[in-house]
Amino acid sequence: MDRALITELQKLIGKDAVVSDTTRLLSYESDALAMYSAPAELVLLPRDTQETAGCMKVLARYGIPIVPRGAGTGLTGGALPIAGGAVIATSRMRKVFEVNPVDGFARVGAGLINVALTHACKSHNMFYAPDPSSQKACTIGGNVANNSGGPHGFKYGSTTQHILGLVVVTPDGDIIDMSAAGVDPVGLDLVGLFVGSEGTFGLATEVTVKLEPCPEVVETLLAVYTGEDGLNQACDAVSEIIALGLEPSAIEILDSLTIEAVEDSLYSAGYPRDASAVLLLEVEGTATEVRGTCDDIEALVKRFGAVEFRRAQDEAERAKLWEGRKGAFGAMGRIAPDLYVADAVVPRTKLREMVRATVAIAEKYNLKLATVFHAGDGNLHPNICYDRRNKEETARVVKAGAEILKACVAAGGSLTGEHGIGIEKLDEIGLLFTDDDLEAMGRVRRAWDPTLRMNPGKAIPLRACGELGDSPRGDEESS
Amino acid sequence: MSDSQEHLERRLQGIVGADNASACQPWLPGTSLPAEITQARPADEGQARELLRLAAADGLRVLPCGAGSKLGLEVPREKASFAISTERLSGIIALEPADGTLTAWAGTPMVDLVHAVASAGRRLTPNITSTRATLGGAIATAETGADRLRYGPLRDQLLGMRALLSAEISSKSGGRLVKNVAGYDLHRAHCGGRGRLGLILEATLRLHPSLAIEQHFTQAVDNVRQGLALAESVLASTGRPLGVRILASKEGTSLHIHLGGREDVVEQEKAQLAISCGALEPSKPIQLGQPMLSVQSLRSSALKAAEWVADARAKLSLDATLVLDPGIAVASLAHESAPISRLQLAQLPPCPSQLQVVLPSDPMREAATGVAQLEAAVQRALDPLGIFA
Repeated sequence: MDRALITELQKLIGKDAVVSDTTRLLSYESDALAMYSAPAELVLLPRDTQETAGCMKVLARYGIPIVPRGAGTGLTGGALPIAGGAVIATSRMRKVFEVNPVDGFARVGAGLINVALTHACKSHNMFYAPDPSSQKACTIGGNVANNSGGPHGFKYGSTTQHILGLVVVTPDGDIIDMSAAGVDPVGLDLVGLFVGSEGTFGLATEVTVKLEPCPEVVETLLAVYTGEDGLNQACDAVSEIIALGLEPSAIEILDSLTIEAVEDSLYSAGYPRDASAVLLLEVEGTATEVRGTCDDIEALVKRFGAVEFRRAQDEAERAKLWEGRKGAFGAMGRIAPDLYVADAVVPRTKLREMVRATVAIAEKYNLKLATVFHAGDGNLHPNICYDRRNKEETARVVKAGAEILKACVAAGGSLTGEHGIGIEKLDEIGLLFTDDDLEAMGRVRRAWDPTLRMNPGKAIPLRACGELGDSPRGDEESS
Repeated sequence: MSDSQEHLERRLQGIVGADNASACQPWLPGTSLPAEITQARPADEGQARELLRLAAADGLRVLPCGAGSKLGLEVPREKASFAISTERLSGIIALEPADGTLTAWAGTPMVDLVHAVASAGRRLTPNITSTRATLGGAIATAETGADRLRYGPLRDQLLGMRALLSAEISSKSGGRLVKNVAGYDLHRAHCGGRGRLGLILEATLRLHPSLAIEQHFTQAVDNVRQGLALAESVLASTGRPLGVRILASKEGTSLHIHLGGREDVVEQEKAQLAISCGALEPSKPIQLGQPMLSVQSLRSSALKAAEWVADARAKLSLDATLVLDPGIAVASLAHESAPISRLQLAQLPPCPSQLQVVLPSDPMREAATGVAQLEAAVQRALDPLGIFA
């Protein structure tokens, strides 16, 4: 990296905020998709929007690519500097600027940790709904980039439904302030367009989020299935819950290998070890509403073969049941050193079919599969446990992953429900979108980033952005 | 009709047939525009592409529309040479109650979709039954339904879309899934985009479980301020009402509450309402047409929004009902008399900075330079030939 550039950046944001020594750069060479890495050349740690804009102006002058990074918990390689350039990490932008309980919003720095936001509004009896399993580490900005989901997405939807405004720094270093909270976007919904763009449009430095009132009552339920058919029975129970229109806030399934890993780990939640699947549900609302829904669910899951049904008796038991679910990915470290987390999504009626397909694919490639799913949304995480030092095994994991994605699309599903495309699924995106679809998306990308310096090689294939002439009618047609 | 207009009409008829291209009068008195615009109603996607080919070849601009239920309220886009109505691009493509998704052609009337979804044991929101609005038109104008308080805005229901950007290019984003983050969410830009980015062909919406029972209640109040205080206590004490609104007209002012859900839950909510509001009268659902004018605010400024709307109504001497929806912070004037004209718009009182005036077809605002440039760039990206007015 150019010495003069580094000196200029150091002057702007301080020496400690410009990382260029090889040892410190090491921790930025990959994210939670551990099978890939790319060495970072330069990492910048600006403290606020102004500093970010200053850095990006300088980088624009040098024509250097920019890779936005939150906490690096992404599962598709979205934060990897595969084309070189500068990584801008938001980790120092973690202020809570405003919590407004009356109007139901908060304004925070993009680097704020997801769970810290909920802690910040707890005293107002409000919370931030999207709750990715990595919520103790992942950042709000990263959630915005990937349109992250989470178990409670069944009731509350994904991140995009909770973002009211953004401050975005463009690749040229201009600050676009769209942070005002309002009822509906006024003009084009640029904020809605930005959410899920995986850092390819610009860098969000401040986020205005919607807050939800804490529910009056929350109940956490566990249904236990045993025997060979247990996982199928759990899937069928979920389909029936949805068909009957029952409205829990979360519907999760864990399979036997996941249960085993969790119970052996420090996340041990008390899931029965002999279970072939557990169904973890949460019900929220008024006391009457929760009581009625829980009773209906209890009868239903028993009808579908549950051998045991538990209602968490207190807050501690509730927390423990969720700790197991949210710690499941970490717990799988006990099975093998590395974990490949697939993000399959299918129509909710195809759950059982998809589970069967993933099991068959894992068997075909002789891989160890542990599955956790946001069953209510049709979003499966078939997790393949492997050792990346074993090149041959890693190659099988990659093949199996691609095959799972193909099976999803063939079943009417998608390549990703909440993790994004990143670098991982670029080759498969053509299964979902035509060249025309991708060209339209590429044009929109260029509208935000004409020189394609923002997070190159992610989200949509670059060929879709190539060879695009500017508008033949130019600026005068901007009405 | 001028010669050139007649000539254009004949050419459009050559594509869509003699019965499906004719002059309509969406424009308002008091505008400087021709009283008529030719509207072509293609029977299928192929005809729609042909119309766009003609527009591109002749450098004509097109105004996409549905049934035109909001065009009467339109401050028209000046340069539109003709309109393409999606009215005949109608019908359900896929209704999947078990998956919770509905895909339909853009010209399908919302009321038909609401009923079809209800027959399948699900609920569609926005629950629009009182106008001729189409799916595409509702999306393009980000229409708010009476049940938004519980279900959220239309953009939260929109899962995917396919739109024609030109004669050659159709563009899909999202999908027929309740959860999906592949590709950019271009449909979010079309939602509320007033047709400026393309012609919406089909869209997929999320479905909700149907409600066991729905009940409506009303109570007379002295004025909007009192109604708002009551509404706030209802919002604070009741679980999840479908709607809480205050209506103010010559006949008086009243608070309306719309409940729905499991029978035992609604019964309990009613008991809570009796505590906060006293006895409430059961009533019929409110039937309001398209609002001619809305003012968005934050919840803390809801009274200010209502006052501004009341002031506007008085200044323009309109005979319209003021509707305040404090839970979502919108005050509006319901369209009962003549729609608002461009001349009247000029007479509106100055709008305080914390309020945002929105017409069904036009958010009235001046964007900051950076935002305006970005919007223009996105618009150019999707409509590089400048076909859509």
